[in-house]
Amino acid sequence: MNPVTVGIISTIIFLFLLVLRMPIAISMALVGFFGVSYLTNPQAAYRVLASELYSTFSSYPLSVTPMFIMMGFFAYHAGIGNKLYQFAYKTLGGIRGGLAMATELACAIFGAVCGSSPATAATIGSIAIPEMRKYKYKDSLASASVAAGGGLGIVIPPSVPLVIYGLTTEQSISKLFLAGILPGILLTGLYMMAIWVVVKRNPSLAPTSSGPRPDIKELFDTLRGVLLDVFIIFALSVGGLFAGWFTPTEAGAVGAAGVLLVTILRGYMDMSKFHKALRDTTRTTAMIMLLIGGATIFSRLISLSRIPFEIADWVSTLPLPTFVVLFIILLIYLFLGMIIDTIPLILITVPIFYPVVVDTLGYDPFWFGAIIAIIVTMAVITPPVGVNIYVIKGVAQDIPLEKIFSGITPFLIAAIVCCVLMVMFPQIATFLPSLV
Amino acid sequence: MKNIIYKFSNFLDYIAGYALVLVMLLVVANVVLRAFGVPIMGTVEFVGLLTAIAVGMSLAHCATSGGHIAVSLFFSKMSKGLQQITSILVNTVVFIFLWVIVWRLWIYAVTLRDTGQISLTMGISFYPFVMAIAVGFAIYSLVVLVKIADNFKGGVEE
Repeated sequence: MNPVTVGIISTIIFLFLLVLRMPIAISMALVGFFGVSYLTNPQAAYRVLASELYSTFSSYPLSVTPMFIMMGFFAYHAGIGNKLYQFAYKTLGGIRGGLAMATELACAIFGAVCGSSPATAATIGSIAIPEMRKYKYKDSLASASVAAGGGLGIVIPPSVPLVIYGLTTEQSISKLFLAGILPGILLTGLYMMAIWVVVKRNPSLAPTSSGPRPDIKELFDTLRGVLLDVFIIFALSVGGLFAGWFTPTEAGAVGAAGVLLVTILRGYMDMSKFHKALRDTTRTTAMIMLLIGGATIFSRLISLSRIPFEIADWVSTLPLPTFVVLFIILLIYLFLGMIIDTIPLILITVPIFYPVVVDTLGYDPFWFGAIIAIIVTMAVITPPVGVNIYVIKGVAQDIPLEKIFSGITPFLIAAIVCCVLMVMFPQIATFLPSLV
Repeated sequence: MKNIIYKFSNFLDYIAGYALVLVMLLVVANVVLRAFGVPIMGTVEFVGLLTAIAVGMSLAHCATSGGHIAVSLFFSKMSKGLQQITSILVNTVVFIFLWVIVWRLWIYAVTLRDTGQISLTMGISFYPFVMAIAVGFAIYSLVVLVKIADNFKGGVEE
């Protein structure tokens, strides 16, 4: 059997194991191990299995992942998200649809200290949904606005999916974070605009011009409080990374320590919350690092099979404009994102499509990272998997899933508009990285 | 038996959590001291090795709470009986493969010990960390074994 055939058969077996609900990390390691064994010899596969797992787990560059995860969970358990919502609520709560817009704003700011999309959706959702219901917002708008807003953290730095993309493609994490800033702000604006449009067209979605009137003194107090904390932590951690003071791991550690220190000083953190945050951090770290270990073994097989090179060669001979090929690849991402979670999606697909998009079609690697992040934000709110939808379902159990799904259309359209704008004006993602 | 395995994974997870806190403190201390021209020697090595401990020690606890993500979309459409049979088969394959990993990691650790592989700056031996990861995988496999026993009793993980 030639290597390409082995690669294709292995991929089919891998997909079959996924259907049977084998953990994705183990499926990748298992198929990768047997594939490498077939294409080389069992001794080589044994060496790959042990050495790749150890070198993944003990890798200094990869230690950035648990640090940013820890930063996010400290912020989550200390209730920073709730306090941010209070600020956004006081700023935008007075206009029609303002509470839903406040949700997007709070999610975007929380995304600056938390790279986890479900954690953002859960933390903001638990306070925003009851508040919107109090003011008779329709459940579809209330729940969908939180689910969509939760995804903003995937684009806005520090973002764990962008870290994984950077590590997979060996691109600068600092530049990837920079590439995420403007698309993140744009997407936040588009989400708010989508809310404004749907509420304008159907005022019953947000019936009263409700919520509190902005009080300048209160706003100033909030500005001095949690918002200033978030700004300082972001400036120190991600800012230090942009300025070249820190490595990504150091930025993550400084961010985590910063959040911990601030929340202790403010009295938001106690021992129980600290342990809960550690629990969530180790759980997510184990999941992601085993996934990376499995993906590394699987990618050995994919390289040996020469599939990425064959695809790149084939694409270069296609009589199609580059943007059509790109469009097809983005559609594949959207489709896969509907059934596979964010991190494995990036780990599985990027080694295959990155050479095609960047080397063959000539797109900017940071732009590609940013647009994948936007696509993933769509995937987390699209059925059937749509992880944020299920998080919201967990927060507001009496809202039927269909109702949540029915409200996401405007947000999906907003995200598609964001993608189109990024294709038309790649500078949205490439401008900031080009400055450093 | 299930209780003992789950409690032990829980204990290992505590070690993992504090290993990560140690990484955070070490890195921050190094950043601060570096600013004064006295960086902590071997920080990169310590961080790598502590992260290895953290990941190894948290694998099993992650499995107890279904943290190793899988695609449930198609599985959830199966009948209860088929779900049970599939779970038994899949978990058995996972259990066997985890032991292959444990076996190869142990052999790798012994090779590193016998060839005297140490880190460049601090001269720390690598093999105990590889063995710690092997232990982590071994406990993870025991969690899977508990799940197989549950599957035989008719339990299927949600």
